[in-house]
Amino acid sequence: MASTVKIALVFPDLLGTYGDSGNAQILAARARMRAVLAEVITINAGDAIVDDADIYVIGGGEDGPQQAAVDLARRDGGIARAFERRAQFLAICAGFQILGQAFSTSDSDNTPGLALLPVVTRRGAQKRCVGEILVDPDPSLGVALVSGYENHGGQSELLEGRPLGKVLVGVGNTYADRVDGFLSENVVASYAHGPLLARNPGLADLILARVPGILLGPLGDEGAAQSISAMRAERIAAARRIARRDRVLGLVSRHRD
Amino acid sequence: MRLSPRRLRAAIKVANASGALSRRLGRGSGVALAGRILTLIAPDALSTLSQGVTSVLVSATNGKTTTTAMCSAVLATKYKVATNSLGNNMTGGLAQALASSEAANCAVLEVDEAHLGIAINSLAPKAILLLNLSRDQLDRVSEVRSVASRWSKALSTSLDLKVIANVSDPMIQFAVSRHPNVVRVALGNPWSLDASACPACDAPLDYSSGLSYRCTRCEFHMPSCEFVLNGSYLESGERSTIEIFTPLPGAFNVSNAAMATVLGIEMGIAPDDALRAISAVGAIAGRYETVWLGGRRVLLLMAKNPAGWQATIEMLRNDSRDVVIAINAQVADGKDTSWLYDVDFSPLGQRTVMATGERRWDLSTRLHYDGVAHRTFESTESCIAASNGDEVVFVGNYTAFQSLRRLVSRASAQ
Ligand SMILES: [Zn+2]
Repeated sequence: MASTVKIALVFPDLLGTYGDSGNAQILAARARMRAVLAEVITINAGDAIVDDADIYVIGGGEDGPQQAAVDLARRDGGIARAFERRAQFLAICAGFQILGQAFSTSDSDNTPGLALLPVVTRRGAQKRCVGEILVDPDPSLGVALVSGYENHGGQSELLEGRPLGKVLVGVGNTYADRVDGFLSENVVASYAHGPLLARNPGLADLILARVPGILLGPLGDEGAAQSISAMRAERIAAARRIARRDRVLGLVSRHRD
Repeated sequence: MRLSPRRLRAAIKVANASGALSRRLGRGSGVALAGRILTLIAPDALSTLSQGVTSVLVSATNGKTTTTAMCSAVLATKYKVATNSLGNNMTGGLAQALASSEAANCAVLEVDEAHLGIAINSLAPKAILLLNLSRDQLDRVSEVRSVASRWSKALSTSLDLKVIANVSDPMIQFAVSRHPNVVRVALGNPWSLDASACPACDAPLDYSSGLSYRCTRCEFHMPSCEFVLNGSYLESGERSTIEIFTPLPGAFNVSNAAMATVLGIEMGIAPDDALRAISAVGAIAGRYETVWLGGRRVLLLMAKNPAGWQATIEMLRNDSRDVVIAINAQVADGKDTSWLYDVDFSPLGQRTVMATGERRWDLSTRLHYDGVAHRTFESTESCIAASNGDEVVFVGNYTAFQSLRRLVSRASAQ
């Protein structure tokens, strides 16, 4: 029974390219808005990785830091131990890739990952995937459309398991599969940043609710809820506009923005 | 192939005419277009135009426009200076700046980070100032370290050139470390988020010894410096300490002024003369300008990337004026607003804050999560109408700032 939700922000100094520390801040804020105590533990490169946190947030990064992060995490072992006891994981972009079996960097086409997820990432032959992404999430989650912004070259193939959802706009895991991320009882992984939980409060609450012993009441903050829903409406409309324009231009599943 | 002077003059004439036409059609100042046309009809215009001209280049992610203005002022005490003061900092803009002033014997040019190599090759500058390198519009421009590597490569072919470098930024040190002619300046490093990993080997950098850094794996470390900025005092081993003054707000402008002072010293200008010139540099392309709008004085500030935003928020920490923040996400701003979460807005918590711009709801969400009470408005005019006090501070990102400037010039024309 967790009295305080412990949120570990893993290597924001290496993996924080797309405002990813926002995801940890948002989890903590949404817990506190329900009078649930929450604490963010920032683990910088070189720090020991705590293995008793409830939620691990791992973000995106450039090739070199991504390589450094996977080396440090492997040597430390804290992430693998936490995964073993089914702590919750939110992994975005490079964070998703390093949890997989292997990924590519500019130096190597087959860097071993932490082998916690059934996914292999290769460098894509096509151009980098950059732009708004809209995902229809797995219906079992009961959350609204997932909106975000993707920016990655890697193409991630799921060897087994479920993705987070079907891609409606954008690319996601690969140009071919039309799905994004990975989903299991303890993992939400995605190529969508934004940060993801800012754009998708339903996902934030879902991850919090998965922590044993946490009961989430209604969100107290009306103003925040209004701003978030206005932002979501605006971004989802923008993603659909981009998709329509790409269809007209014959650029299905390719980004132009 | 060299261009005949006659053909070059013709090219400049055509380019200027197109620029003027573009200006009359209301498509901006026309300078960028004129520059593009010029390089199209006269591809070697840059090297031709810079013959016999002492050139100084300024590049950075943040502060290049301001520092360029300060450097121009300093060198104007000794030279007849041409400069791209409207911030047109790609190849075409440089050519246009050189072409616009036939009498100039010196050029101080702000150069876009991605165009520095071309500018060094074609202008053969006497000195170059490198201030900082951090993320800017990541979805458009390549990664920070690859820019640093390209700078390093560009410098390796120009060994005579004097490089004045802020080596408090590890990315800058990485770019200049093999150059034989570097004047090292330590400005301090308030933004390390983009340089926490060693640029040489990707291992973590250790910042624990205060303002310097050292790689935890390889030999890469902060070198000793010829100049160290300590608060507003520029200290140097051999010379006496110089107190830097600029009327522009914020610690980052003291840093910019320090770099311009060092340039002056290296170019044989007395520090007192340099400082006097710098203290006369006020508003630059509208930035730091106070305008009159909607019955209030409005101080105009622009920030273009997380490092710039954080420095601006810090500057406003102990200020009581109402603040209007405007965020757009046009191509020139970067279409990805995730950087909002790399900026800590909480120092604004005790103020009246108003959010606007095309992406006001992204901003508003961000402010909620940072605990900053605020109101959200459709337009900057509505923010200003709802504000209190005689003077309001406006901070916008690039296109939000430009659109407010257009609004101000329309208002003053009526
Ligand atoms: Zn190193």
